[in-house]
Order: sequence, then C-alpha cells, then structure tokens
Amino acid sequence: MMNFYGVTGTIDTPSALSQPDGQLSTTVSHFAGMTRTTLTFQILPRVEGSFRYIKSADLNFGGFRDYYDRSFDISLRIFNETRYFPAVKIGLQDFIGTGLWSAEYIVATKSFGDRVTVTGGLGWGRLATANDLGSPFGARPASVVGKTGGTANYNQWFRGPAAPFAGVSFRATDKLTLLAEYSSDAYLAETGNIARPTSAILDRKSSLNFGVNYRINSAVDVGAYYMYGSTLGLNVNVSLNPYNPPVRGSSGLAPQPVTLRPGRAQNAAAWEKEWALDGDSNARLLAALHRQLEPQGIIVDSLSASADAVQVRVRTGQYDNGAQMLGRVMRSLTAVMPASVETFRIVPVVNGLAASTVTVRRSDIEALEHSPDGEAQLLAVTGFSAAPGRPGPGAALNSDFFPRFTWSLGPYIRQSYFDPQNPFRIETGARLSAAYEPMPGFVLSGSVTKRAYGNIHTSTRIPSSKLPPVRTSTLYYDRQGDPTLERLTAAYYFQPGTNLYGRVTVGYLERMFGGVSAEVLWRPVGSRLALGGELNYARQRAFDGGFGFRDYDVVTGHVSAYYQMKNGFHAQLDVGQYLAGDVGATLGIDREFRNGWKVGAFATMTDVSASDFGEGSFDKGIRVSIPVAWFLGTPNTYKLGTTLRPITRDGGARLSVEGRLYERVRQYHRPTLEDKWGRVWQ
Amino acid sequence: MGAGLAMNRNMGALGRRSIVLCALALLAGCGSEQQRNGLFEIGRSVTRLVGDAGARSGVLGAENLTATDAQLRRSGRPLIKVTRADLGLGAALSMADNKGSAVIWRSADGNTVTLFNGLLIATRGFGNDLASAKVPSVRAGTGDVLREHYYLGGDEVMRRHAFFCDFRDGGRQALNLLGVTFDTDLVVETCTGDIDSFENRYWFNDQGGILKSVQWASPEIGALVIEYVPRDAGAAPFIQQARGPDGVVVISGSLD
Repeated sequence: MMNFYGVTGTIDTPSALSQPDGQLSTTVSHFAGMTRTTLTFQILPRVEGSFRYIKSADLNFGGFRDYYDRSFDISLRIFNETRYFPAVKIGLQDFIGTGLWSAEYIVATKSFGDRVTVTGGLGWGRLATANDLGSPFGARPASVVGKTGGTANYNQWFRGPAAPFAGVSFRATDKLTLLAEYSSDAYLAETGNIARPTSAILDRKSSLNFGVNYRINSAVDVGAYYMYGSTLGLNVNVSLNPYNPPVRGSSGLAPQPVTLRPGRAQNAAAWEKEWALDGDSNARLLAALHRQLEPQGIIVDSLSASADAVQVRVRTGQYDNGAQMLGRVMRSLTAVMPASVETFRIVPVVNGLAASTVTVRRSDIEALEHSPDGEAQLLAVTGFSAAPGRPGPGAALNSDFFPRFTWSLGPYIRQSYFDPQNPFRIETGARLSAAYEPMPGFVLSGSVTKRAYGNIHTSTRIPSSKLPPVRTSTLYYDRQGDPTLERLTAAYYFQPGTNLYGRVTVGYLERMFGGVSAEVLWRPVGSRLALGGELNYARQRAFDGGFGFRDYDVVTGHVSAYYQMKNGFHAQLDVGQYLAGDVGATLGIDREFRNGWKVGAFATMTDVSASDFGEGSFDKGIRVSIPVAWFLGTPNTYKLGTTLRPITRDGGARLSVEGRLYERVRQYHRPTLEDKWGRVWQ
Repeated sequence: MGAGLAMNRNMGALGRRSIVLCALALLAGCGSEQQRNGLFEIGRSVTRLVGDAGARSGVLGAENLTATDAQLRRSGRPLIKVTRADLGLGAALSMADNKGSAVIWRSADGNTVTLFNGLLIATRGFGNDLASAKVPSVRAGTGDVLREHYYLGGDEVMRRHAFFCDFRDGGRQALNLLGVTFDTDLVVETCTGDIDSFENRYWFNDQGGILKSVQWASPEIGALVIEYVPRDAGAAPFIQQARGPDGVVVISGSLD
C-alpha cells in the first residue's frame, strides 16, 4: 500500500512493508493544498528509493506563493517478518533535498493472518513535530530550508526529538482495505507555526487519519481519506512491475521452421561443394537470405560463404531481443545455405559496427529445434567471439540495401519538468529525419523539428548562472529555435582492432552544440568490463537552431569504465572535463532487467563549488526506460523513458552526441545475449 | 516519464485507448519502409492492436474460423482445426513443416503449434507460449508418469515445470470429427504439477493415430482442442497417416 508520500506505508506515515522487487510506482496524492507526486522504485527486495515533487499551494513560504519542493527518500528493511517478530525498516525522507520535508524513522510492522497489519514506529525531524518523547541522540542542528539544498543533510539524521507514530490496516475484501493511523507530523509550516512566515493551509485538529483504499486492478489503486480531523485527502497509485508483463514471451509472428538437409546417403548430389566455386554464389545466397529475413525485420548487410562455412552480417530495427533475432537468422540460414555449409557465423551489426561473432553448428540447430529446454542446450554449443574487422573474403554486399537512404516524418515530444510556474511543460510537433548510408558504418543523418503545440517556450524563468550557460540557456533555444535543426552529422563507425570499437562524429551534434566527437571503446565479447574514452571539441550553437554558432567553445571528454554485474546492475564511471569546462566525475548505477526495463540514478561531482553551481549544489538525477515491446508483446526496439533532474544547471553537463558505443555494442555481447537467450527459439 | 504513464493508463481502458490511439495513428506519419523509429512505430503498433481488438478476440491470434467443416474437408491439403477451449474460437492450421515425428502447423496469421507424434510440445506466437516440452507416451493404465513443460517467465528466465500424470482408458467412443464419424478409443491423462493441474484427452483410431485431442498448453492459453481434418477424396473421407520408425502412427504426417 502506498501512502501519501508514495512510499510503502499506512496513510501519511511509513510502514516496514515493501513492494515486490522491481516495482515501479507513481503516486499522486492531494490534501489541504499539498500535491505530492512520487516515483518509487523497489531497488532491491529490501531497498526502496523515491523521488518526489511536492506543491504546497498558497503556502507563501520563502518568497513563493506556491512552494515547490523536490525530495529523495531511501529506506532499508533490516529485518524480515518472522512468526513472532515484525519486519523492521529504517528510512530517510528528503535526505538530499532542501529539507522542508526531512524526516527519519525506524518502523516495525507485523501482520496477523493475511488481512491485518499493525505498524508502530519512531520518527525524527518532521515525523517528530507532534507529541515527542525527547531527544535520544542529541539536538538537531538547525537547517536552512530553501537555500541551495542538494547536499545530504546527514548531520541532522536521527537527531533532535523523537516521536511515536502508528498505523493499522485491515483488508476487508480483495479490493478494499480500511486504514487508520496516528501521525506524529504536526505540519508546523503548513499550520503557520514556524518562525518564518507562512500562510496556514491546514487546520490540524487531530493526529488521527482514517481512510479506504480500493484496488481497481493489479496496476491501479485509489484511496480516499479523512486527514487530521479537518480535510479530505485523495491518493492515486499506478504500479508496474517489470516481472509482470502483459504477455510473457513474444506474441508476434512465429519463426520459420528449421529446414533439414537431405540425408547424405540418399542425396549425395545435394552435398557437393562445387557451388562454392561459382563467383556469383555469395550474391545469390545473400539475395535468397534477404528474401527470408527482410519480412521479419532483419537486414542482411553482407554474406561470405565457403564450401563449409558462412559469415553473415545482419542488423535489425525491430528486435529488442538480440537472441531472438539471432535465432531467426539461424533458422533462415538452414533454409538457404547449401547442405555442405556446416558452420554459421552470424555477425550482428549496430550502426554499421560489427558487435560480435556468434558461431553455431548447423547440425546443432537441426538437432535441437524440438528438444525440451532447447534454449539452454543451444547456448551450451554456441560460440561467442570478437567481431571480424571486415566482411569475409569476396563478401557480397546487400545491393538492395546499400547505398541506403531512409527518411521519416513523424511526431516528436519534448518535456520540461519542475518549472515552479508550471512543473510539467510539454511540446509536440513534427520531426523530419533522414539518413544516408553509402556503405556500412558511414552514416550521414539529420533531423529538423517544427513545433505544433507547446508551452515550454512560454516559460519566463530567466536562468542565471555563474558558469558558462551551457545548459541553462535551453530556454533561449526553445524560444528562438523553431523550426530547429536538431542534428546534422556525418558519423563513421569502425573497428580499430580486436575488441576495439571506434566512432567519429562531425557536425551539428545536438540542439545546443556542434563540433567533432571521437570515441573509442574496448570490450571483449565475453567481458563484463569495458573501458572507453571520448574526446570532443564543441562550440555552442546559435539560439535560432540554424547553422550559426555563438562564441563559446570547449574541449570536453571523458575516460569511462563500465561494469555489467551478474545481478543486472550496471555501473558507469566517467572522469573528465565537462561542457562548462569543469573537471570531475560522474557515477551512474542502473538496474537493467532482462526484458530491457532500466531504472537508474546518476550524480556528477566537479570542481564547481556548490554555491557557483547554484540550486541543487551538483548535477544528479534518475532515469527510467521501459521498452515498448514489454507493453505490446511483439518485438520492437523503441523505449519509453526519461531522465529526471531535480534541476538542470551548467555544472557537470555532458555533450549529448548520438551513437555512443557502449550500449549499442553491449547488446550483442555474451553477458547480455545470455540474459536474453530464453527467446532464441521464439 | 510522461509518455510511459500515458501508455499505462491506456492499457486499462479500451475506450479511452482507442481515442488516444487513433490520434496517434493520425500522428504516426510516414517514411521510407525501413525507418522504424519512435512514436512512429508506437502509433503503428497500437493502431494494429486496436484494429485487432475489434476484428478478433485473440484466439490463436487468428480470426474465428468462418469456413464450414465440409469446406475444410475439401481443402485438399493437410489441415488441423485448433480451438481454444476457454474461448470456443478456432482456426484451421496448415502444415508448415514435417520432420516425421514432429510436425509444425501454422495459422493464417502466423502462429504455430508443434505436435510430436500428435502430442503438443510447443506453441509460438500466442504469447505465454509453451516453449518446449518432454511428453510421455500415451498408454492407458500407466501412472505417475513425468511430463515436463518449459515456460519463459516474466523475468525472461526459462523454467522447467514438472507434472505427474496418470493415463486411464476412457472407453470406446464414436467420434464425430468435422462431420465424419470414426470409431475411437479414448485415453484420458490427468496431470498435477506445481503451477497447475489439467486433464488431456486423446481419441485414437484403430491404427493407433490420434484423431482428436484436448491438450493443455499453458496457464494463460489453457487447453487447445486439436482435430485432424479428414479429407474428402471422392466419396469416402480418409485420414492421411503414416507409421514412423518408432512404430507410432502420425496423422497427416507422410514420412516420405
């Protein structure tokens, strides 16, 4: 059950329960002019993290009529519930925000039967403003709410008065739950009882809250509550769990059957190898394979066959699951290749860059098609090795595909968050994009957008910054750049050596910068570790989104280390010089599920001081990405997602160049393919 | 995650979804064939979904069968009729691949079932599919026989689920197979396992081939009624069958 803070709890206080592992919940709650929107992720079975945006309407606090605040929470369940002992959780609320909502707690919850839970806890900070029991761990240092914020206020944690809170829930039916609680939050600021002036927006007559929660379906529940003896509260929660897709497995077109070769004894002629001497054989086989795969969304870049082996380069714009694509290619190869070809070397290509070589014996494919647990058996006999530097000798290039010109005209959406005047701004319009690929690995591409509707550009919040305005000038681009040339680049992807991948991009790299970007990545196919480096010269573009430039330029670049952990967590550390010329490091941790769901957080510390950085003190944020295929059940590479920064400033900003190597190349390396292998026969 | 949430809400309410999706379809835009990007592709996928929701109710993914039994018998090629027991909607599947014991049957819209000596060992394209299976041989009177099914979980991990099954004699039955009557022996298989319990039924002809069966595929798909379509050849309908090297008779499975 999600409480008004969007974390697991009773009504306005937390409990020691948790959400199912991986659960991603969005909760919107409202009472007494306070609207809280919270995104909560069950990071690990015992760890829950939240990001929250609160609007306190008409609070008249800190010089703002409506006061907006962003906060992060984290909680850890230290004991699981046992037969006699309750679950126990320890939590921090608003622990790196501006501190208006800061609280800490330790809470215990015991369930009785499967319908009743009882919760009792001890709160500090905000959760100890009503009926406290004294200060067990010393006085709480005064905080300066509403200053720069953004640093962990750890000197306050569990300091000052502590007060008890309690809650009880009764699940009356499968859908309906009754809740009651005793809250230890006096809402001092909201009742006009703090030293700094505020307008009272809540009349707190009681410490007791009551309510009902109704579960509409597995994803959505709503609640109605009587809060603090004076006002009505409402709460809506939408929860999705990556482990519970609408459809498990693929519901698209079934794959083609594996084609068996005739017995060598029955049909010796079919096994002869003379075909390989024919100079046109590669082109003929490529055309035949193209006919099989193109309708399934797979493009054959090139093919090179000898009497007993074939190397084929393939790419897809459709399969988010690399193993599923490989399985389809294997099946089609059995239908196309002459009987003497026993070894299939499939080279998946991303952006013209060969990512790896996946080697399978044809006999294994034939033998395992109908085997119980054929996925695991096929994996056991599949080889993963480095991508070859270039297509095999005498390779036929897909002349249906190269040179290739593609274009599209479609909609785009841009979002802007947390402007105090309007915390969610959106813009939509048309995007025309085109790409020309004269040969694999060399791509000329660009896109132009024209706004149709939007209120991002109408913001009047004039940003000020002590650093070069590399990101705070976004508003000027929104205002003056319509239509805008988003990108116009020439990119070349290549392999400088074994296990090495390279990229050079020149042109208008992103909406705000143009220049030159060069990157190199080292990652063996079976490795969980990758190392990379990127060097850019970037010049700030003119606000009008045209071809002009402003007079700010910078050399920016990073060395990066990436590590893919076995449990699905990914860590990335970048060290280098950022867009505003500041020097520092970014650490990002993401949890990626096998189906492609990804939830993560990042933080950047540079040599810019907190006061020069401005509000927020340093750059940080969370990011969420959900594959569309998860909703649809059919293969699709598009992802829905966003990066949420409490505030965008100029420190710790990175160039946003397309085609960064790691995420692309990794999709076809052994650790990721093994995670996806369950769909190889789908 | 604006777009993401909008999407979730739409998953629930079909009515509202249609409106949003039609708007998306208008916005979906156009482009060269290979370009599959962003909202463009969502718009297309979702329009397809809505179209589908109107035209069919997700049986086999196929449209409900409109051909009559007599028309199916006259088709002149090997066919099976597969009906989802829970929905009562069926489709005619034609033979896509024949490797003797294992035969793959494909519906017009590209879903497949794989039968091994007549026993269901895989489905594809339905969603929540039976990935693979190790099935026991059907012999009345045997008990506590192991049956193994493999399913891909929501966590993308392939898992084995074991069932223990008893086979009993269901007696001699006159079976009406798409309008043609056959004398058959019924064998009933009762299975219990960790994720579900189910009952399969098999109607054998006198040569030992399975003419009709009701076989459980997965908790979400439920049971499939699988009927071989007898073929009208002149006056008398016949069943195409062959005996494999293992002595098992496979219906519609010519072993040439």
